[in-house]
Amino acid sequence: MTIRIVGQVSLVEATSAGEKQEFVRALCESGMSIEGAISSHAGVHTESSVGGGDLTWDLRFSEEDAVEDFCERVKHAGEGGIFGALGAELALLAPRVSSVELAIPEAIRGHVGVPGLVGIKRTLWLRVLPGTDPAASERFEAETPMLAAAVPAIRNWQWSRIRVAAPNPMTTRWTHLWEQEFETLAGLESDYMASPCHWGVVDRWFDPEMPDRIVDLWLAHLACPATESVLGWQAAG
Amino acid sequence: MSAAQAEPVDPIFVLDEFRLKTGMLEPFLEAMESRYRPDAEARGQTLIHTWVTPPTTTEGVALEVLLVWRLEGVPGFWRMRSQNSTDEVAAWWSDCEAWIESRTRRFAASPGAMSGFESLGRRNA
Repeated sequence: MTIRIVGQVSLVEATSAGEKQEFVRALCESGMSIEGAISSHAGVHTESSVGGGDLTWDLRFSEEDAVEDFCERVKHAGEGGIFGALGAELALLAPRVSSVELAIPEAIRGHVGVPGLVGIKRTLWLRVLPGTDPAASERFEAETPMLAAAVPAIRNWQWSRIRVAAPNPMTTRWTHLWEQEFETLAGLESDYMASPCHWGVVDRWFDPEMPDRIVDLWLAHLACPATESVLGWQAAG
Repeated sequence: MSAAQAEPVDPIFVLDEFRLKTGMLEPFLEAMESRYRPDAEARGQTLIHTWVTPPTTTEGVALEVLLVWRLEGVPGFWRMRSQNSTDEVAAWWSDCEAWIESRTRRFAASPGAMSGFESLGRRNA
């Protein structure tokens, strides 16, 4: 049993594309210096990503105690100072960071078909609107995984609620994470977007003109290169 | 393949069904024509049918309106979706409560187009 923390990291303005790539490499290495961390993966968001930071960061821990310690340090750091609170190596990266959002996904459902996948990871951060009828929220949670069956280019996926109980790294506006891994960006930008299960079924929860909508219009649709399958971490133990 | 030789795009149809409040047929249709249709068509959502059921003005009979709109395939769907998160659109649907009891919106296609749409989602299977 391992625990994964997902983050979106925004870098200071005027960070060049090359500097973002360099930052990602440093974050993959430095993340491993966090006490209890057993994996650290980061990727710069593609140009088609919207609504979130500059890169996605996934961290894996093997022990709940280490997660608790991580969350305590983050909580007391405040959003702007998280990297500074996570040890000397990450503190070196702190001046290049403008903000960090972190969440622990608690899987509702998931599947890892290709644990060794190298490709594209897409993370959709979303918020179900406060006051939503629980029955509607349940239907939404039940329907979203249908996309994985309809779009075979989704090799690995996880549909999660964001942990609100302690320990968690921060209070966040988001309620759910919909994560997928593809072999190519075309799987996301072509197949996923064109599937009639997407536009004809599941999108109604997101469409502002649909009476069924329950999802806040502010979404973070974030895709990045994946040098390994972070969704496969769980399968790897 | 050049643009001139591009394959025809199967349309997607938007089906709007409205259960009207008593006496609200004309006010609703007038408002829809003046407030909603022009901007919807600018988003690529073309009105092709306006139907009333049952087609009678008999007192005490509740009326429903069915609007059928056409989108130019999947690109047309996402073109529409990329433009409909506006305050004006939100205000329109909120104001509709003055004329309607309830509504639904669904998306549809001809049976012959279904396999083509499914295959679009499986090109990188």
